[in-house]
Amino acid sequence: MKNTALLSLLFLFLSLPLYAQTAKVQRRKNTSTIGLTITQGTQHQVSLAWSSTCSACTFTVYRGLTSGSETGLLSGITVTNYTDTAVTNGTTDYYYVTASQSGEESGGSNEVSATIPSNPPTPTGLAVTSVK
Amino acid sequence: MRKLLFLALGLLTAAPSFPSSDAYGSSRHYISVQWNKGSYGTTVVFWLFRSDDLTHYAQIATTRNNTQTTWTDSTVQGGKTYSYYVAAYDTLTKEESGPSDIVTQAVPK
Repeated sequence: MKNTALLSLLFLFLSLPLYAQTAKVQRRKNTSTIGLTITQGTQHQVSLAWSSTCSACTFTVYRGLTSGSETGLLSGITVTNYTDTAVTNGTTDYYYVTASQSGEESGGSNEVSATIPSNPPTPTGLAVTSVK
Repeated sequence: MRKLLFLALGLLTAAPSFPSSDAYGSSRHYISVQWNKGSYGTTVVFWLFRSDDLTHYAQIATTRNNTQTTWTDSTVQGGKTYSYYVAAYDTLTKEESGPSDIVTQAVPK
């Protein structure tokens, strides 16, 4: 008898996070899935483009210098592309995009990354070898 | 048949005539420069810039590739002084390096 009470209490505890997880997923179901692609620019910029089935959504771009550590870069985007011109040479930048509608934000899109090229090193040792 | 053979031989021997060494005679001036090979990727070329007033530089040459680190400028005039600098340019990323140090050379008359 005592055991059953303990067991049901344990069950309740275990199912609590499960319930929260389900609620989250259901919340995210309201918004669309996003397909994100990257077209890397050459002159210190990264161009992102994505597709979404949600026509009334606004989008938020997240950026980070390591995979999985992105933070919000710009929200309220109404078009499905964004060009990031504030990138640093020689870094690799990671991005994902979310869609929002009526204050509800979707889960992140697939993550994409772009390596921003560095300037070539400055040549050294310039000298005249012969003159006539 | 024999005619054809002679014709072919004639064509072969009449190869384009390169300027003989005389064409670069004693009056012909040049300045040769070189710079360090460094460790550049294969998409890099070098741009050579020249000035004859130490102020206004114009690009006068692009190397074939990242391993060509010499250039002979045979468009110089005797008695003038020229300055050069070189920059690396990545043809893939479109990124250019900073300018190298400047080297200045007077051409004998």
